[in-house]
Amino acid sequence: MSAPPPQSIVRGRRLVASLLVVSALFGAAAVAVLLVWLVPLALDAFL
Amino acid sequence: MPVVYAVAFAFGAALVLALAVLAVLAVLLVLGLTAVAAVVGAAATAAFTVVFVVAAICRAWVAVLRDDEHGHLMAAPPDPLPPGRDPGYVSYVFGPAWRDYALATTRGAAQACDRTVRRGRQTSRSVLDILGGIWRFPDGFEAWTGVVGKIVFGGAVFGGLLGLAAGGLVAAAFLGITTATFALLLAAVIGPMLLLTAALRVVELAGLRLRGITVECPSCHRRVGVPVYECPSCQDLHRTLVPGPLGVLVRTCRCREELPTLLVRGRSRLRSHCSHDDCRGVLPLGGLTVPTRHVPLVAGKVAGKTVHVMAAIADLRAHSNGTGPEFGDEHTRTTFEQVEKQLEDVAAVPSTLPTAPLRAATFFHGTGSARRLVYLYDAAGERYQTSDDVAGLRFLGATAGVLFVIDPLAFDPVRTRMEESDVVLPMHSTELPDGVVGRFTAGLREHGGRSSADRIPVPVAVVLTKCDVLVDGGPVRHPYDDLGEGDDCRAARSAAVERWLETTAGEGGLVRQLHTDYERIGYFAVSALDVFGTTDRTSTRTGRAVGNDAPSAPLRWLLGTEGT
Repeated sequence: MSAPPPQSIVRGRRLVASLLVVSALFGAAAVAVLLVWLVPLALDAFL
Repeated sequence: MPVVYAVAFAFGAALVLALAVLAVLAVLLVLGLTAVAAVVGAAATAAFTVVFVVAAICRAWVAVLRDDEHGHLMAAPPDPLPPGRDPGYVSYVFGPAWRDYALATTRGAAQACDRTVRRGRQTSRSVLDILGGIWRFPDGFEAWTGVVGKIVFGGAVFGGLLGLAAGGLVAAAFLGITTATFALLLAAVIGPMLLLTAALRVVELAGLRLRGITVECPSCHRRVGVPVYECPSCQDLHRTLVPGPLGVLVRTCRCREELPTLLVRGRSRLRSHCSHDDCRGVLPLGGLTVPTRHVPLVAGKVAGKTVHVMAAIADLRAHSNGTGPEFGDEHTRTTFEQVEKQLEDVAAVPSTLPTAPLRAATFFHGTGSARRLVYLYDAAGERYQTSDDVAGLRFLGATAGVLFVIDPLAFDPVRTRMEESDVVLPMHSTELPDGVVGRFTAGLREHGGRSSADRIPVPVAVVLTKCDVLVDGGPVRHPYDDLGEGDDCRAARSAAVERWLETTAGEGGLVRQLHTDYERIGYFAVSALDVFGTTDRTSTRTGRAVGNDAPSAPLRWLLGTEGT
C-alpha cells in the first residue's frame, strides 16, 4: 500500500474538486439550455 | 335461391371486409406498437446513455481524487543521487492537476465506453448489450407472435440505437462544456498564481535590494545570492527555496515537512548554507533579514585581537543587560563561551593559528531599523604579513569598518621605558603596526577599486589595547592622563590617544599615514580586563582617576550605535 499523498496535494485536489463541481453544474445548465432551445427547433423542422 | 346466394355473398363480403379491417387494424396496431417501442426505446436509451456516461466520469474523478496512488502526478521529489532538482514535491496546480485531469478523463472515457457500446462485458451489461438482448427477446415466441415481436422489439432496438447516438451527443456536449469550463477555471487559478509567484520573488528581491540587505558566507567570505536551506526534519538541502513550481508560499520537502519559501514567513529561521559548491559553510541564522556589516580586525602577531574581539562582544552583552548580542551562528557562540572563560586569565587565550580557517564571528547588534548582522574577521597576524596574503582576503570588498588593534608594548620607546622600570610586561607584539596597516590599506584600495590619491571612506577605529598596563603604573603615561574634567567627550579622548601615539610612542608617521588614507578615524584606549565593568582606576603614577574606553566602544563607534 502506497503512502498517502502529502497535504499540499490533498489541498490542491480539494481545490480542483470544487472547480470540477462548479464546471459540472455549469455544463449541466448549458446542456439543459441547449436542449430546451434545440429540441423545439428540431421538432419544428421535422413536423 | 338467388336471394340465398345474395345473402351468402353479402355475408361473405362483409366477413372479408371485416377480416380486412381487422388485418389493417392489426397492422396499424403493430406499427403503432413499433413506433411507441421505438420512441420509448430512444428516450430510455438516450437517458441511460447520458446517465451512464456522466456517472462513469464522476466515478472516475472521485476515484482519482481520493486515490492514495499519486505516481502518475510525477510530483514526488527525485532520488537524492545523482543530484537533480530540489527534494520537494511539485506544487499540485503547477502540473499534477492536469495529470489528474488526464487520468480521470481517460478512465472516465473507458468506463463510459464500457457502459454504453462495449459488447460482451463480464461484470455488467452495456447499453448495446441490453439492446441486443431486447432484439433477441422475441426469438422464443411461437409462429406469428415471433414475427410480430421481432417487428415491435426491432422498433425498440432501432429507437434505442438512435437514442444511444442522441444520448452520446448530449453527454459529449455536457463533457465538452464541463471540460472547457474546468480548463478555464483552472487557468484562472494558475495564471494569478504564476503572477503571484513572480511578484513575490520580485518584491522580496526588491525589498532586499532597497534595504541593502545581503548575506555573505562567514567561511569563504563570498556573497551568497540564494542560500541553500536545510530541512529541519531530514536535513535535505534545498538550493532554491523561493516561490516557484515547488510551492508558492510553502514547499513540501521529501520528508513532507512544509518549508516557508518567503523570508517574511520564516525562511530565515531555517539553518542555511553557502550556495557555493566548494564551500557549503553554515550561514548565520537570521541572515537576509538585516543589512550586514563586515569589520576586520587588523594587527600584527600577538597584538591581542582575539582577546579584544571577545571582550568587545562580552561588553556588548553587558551593555544589553545580558540579553544580547544575539549570536549569528553556533560557531561564534561556542568560540565566545570558550574565550569568555579564558578572559579571566588573558594570557591563557591561545593565539589564532594562521593555518586555521578564517571564519568570521557573527552576531546581531542594534534594534529596530538600526539592527545589523556584524561579521568580525579575526584573521591571524600572519595573514597580514605579505601583500599577496592581504590581497587574497575576500572580505575586503565588503568591509564597512576597520578595527586597527595596536599593542602599545610593540613600540620600542614604550617597551624600553617599562622594562627599565622593571614593570612586568604581559605577552606582547614585537611587530610595529606600520607595515600591517600599509599592506591592509593597499589591499582595501585594490578591492575597492580606489586610487592611492583618494581617501578611503571606510571608518577606521584605532584601538590601543592593554591600556591596563599604562593605568597601573610605570613611567609611561596613559593617553587619558591629561584629560581635564570637561574633556570626557569622544572627540577629546580620540585626540588624546592620537597625541599619545605621536608623542609618547613616536608614531607620528603612522598617524599621518592614517589621515592620508582614511576619511574618518577614531582613536580608543581599551583594556580587555575591563570586560566585566569599565570603572575608573587610580593611576599609581599620577594619582588621578583614569578610565579606559569600554571594550565595545570602538565597535559601537564603527557601527554608529555609540548610544546603545
